[in-house]
Amino acid sequence: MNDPAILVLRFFQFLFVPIFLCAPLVMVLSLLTWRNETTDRELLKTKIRTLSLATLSCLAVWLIVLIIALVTRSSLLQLLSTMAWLLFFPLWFGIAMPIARLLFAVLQPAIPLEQQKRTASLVNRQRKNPIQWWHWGLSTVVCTGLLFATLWIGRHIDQSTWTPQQSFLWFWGMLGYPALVIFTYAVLYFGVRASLAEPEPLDSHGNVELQKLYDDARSNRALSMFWLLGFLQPVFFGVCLFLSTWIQSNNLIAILGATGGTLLGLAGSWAGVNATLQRLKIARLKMRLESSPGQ
Amino acid sequence: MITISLNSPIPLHDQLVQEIRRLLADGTLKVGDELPPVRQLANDLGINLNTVARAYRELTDCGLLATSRGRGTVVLSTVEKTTEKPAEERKRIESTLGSALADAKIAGLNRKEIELLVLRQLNKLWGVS
Repeated sequence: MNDPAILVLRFFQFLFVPIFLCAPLVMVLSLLTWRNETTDRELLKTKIRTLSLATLSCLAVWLIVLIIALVTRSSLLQLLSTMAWLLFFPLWFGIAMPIARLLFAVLQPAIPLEQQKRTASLVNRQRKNPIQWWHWGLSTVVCTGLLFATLWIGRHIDQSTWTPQQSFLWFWGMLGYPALVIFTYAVLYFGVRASLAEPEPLDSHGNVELQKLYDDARSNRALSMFWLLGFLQPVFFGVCLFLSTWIQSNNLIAILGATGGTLLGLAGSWAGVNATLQRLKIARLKMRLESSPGQ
Repeated sequence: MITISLNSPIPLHDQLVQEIRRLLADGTLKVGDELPPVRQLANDLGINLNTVARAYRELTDCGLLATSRGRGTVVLSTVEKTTEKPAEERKRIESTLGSALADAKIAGLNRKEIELLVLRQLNKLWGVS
């Protein structure tokens, strides 16, 4: 415990959960400068109050579980207190995202109700899916390769030196990894299908530039989803599983996990920012076309 | 591309049917072409799913579209399967044409202008003669 690296690690482990739980509220508060005269301020206030209360409740739950875990020295409760970061997802997707949508109404592809004349393309977008069979094939081959490599290493390594915990983790890792990959593929498949059906309302003249922007945005969105969720994430988990079996060094895995997780996060942010910029471009062009309908 | 108008007195599903029939008649849609799923078209036009589904159903009943698992809705034929006898059908078309021409006359168009309009539509459907 005298190792300063361990102390730093413990400190970050302790901060990890509250940082994650507070992130949605902090993000929403930092976006408030985007409010304008069209924003429904009453609704915004109510939603921010709900988010604040939900954040405080989650923090309280985490703190209570952590205190009980420390007092009783229960490893299960300690694990539960660490996993409390998962409460980030309901906070973010359930409350913070609708607030962001309220603030960025211009990014919504929905058609203004007052628009009387509506135009749509008759192209079936499900058939223009940019994710081809070879994308799925590549990911499956790499993940299967990593699984078999881990299995092979695990069978050829001297497992008598392993602690029961290491054997337990290896066994469940071998079962959990393929399940995770299959689950990710299923989520991705339906996610991409839903993303291809996102509304793409056209102007009354079916402006070619607008259609091209929609095409580019749709294609980038689907491909980013695939490369992040369908390739990088499962391959990253596979590499971690393989190295943890082969090298048996917790420190190395911690460094690899932190670096890989950060890189994945950065790649996700880049994809998100890129998608938002494309949406802004579409919104701007639509506004221009609506203000000069002859184009 | 299809366009509908929310302030038109014609019901939305009829407008959709008319637009798809127009695209079938002028050759934009050909036999075997796939139409977008009901949800996609409804989302793009900002209208109810049932409105689009009803329009597709009507066109399917006429033998113009077919819906199959896996392929979705496709153009089956560009010629309508009709239950009417040819003489009755001709009579119905003549009556529709008569109403359209009467509309044009009441709107203040003269004979020459109406002839030009009719010719333009004929050229759209059969090409310039």
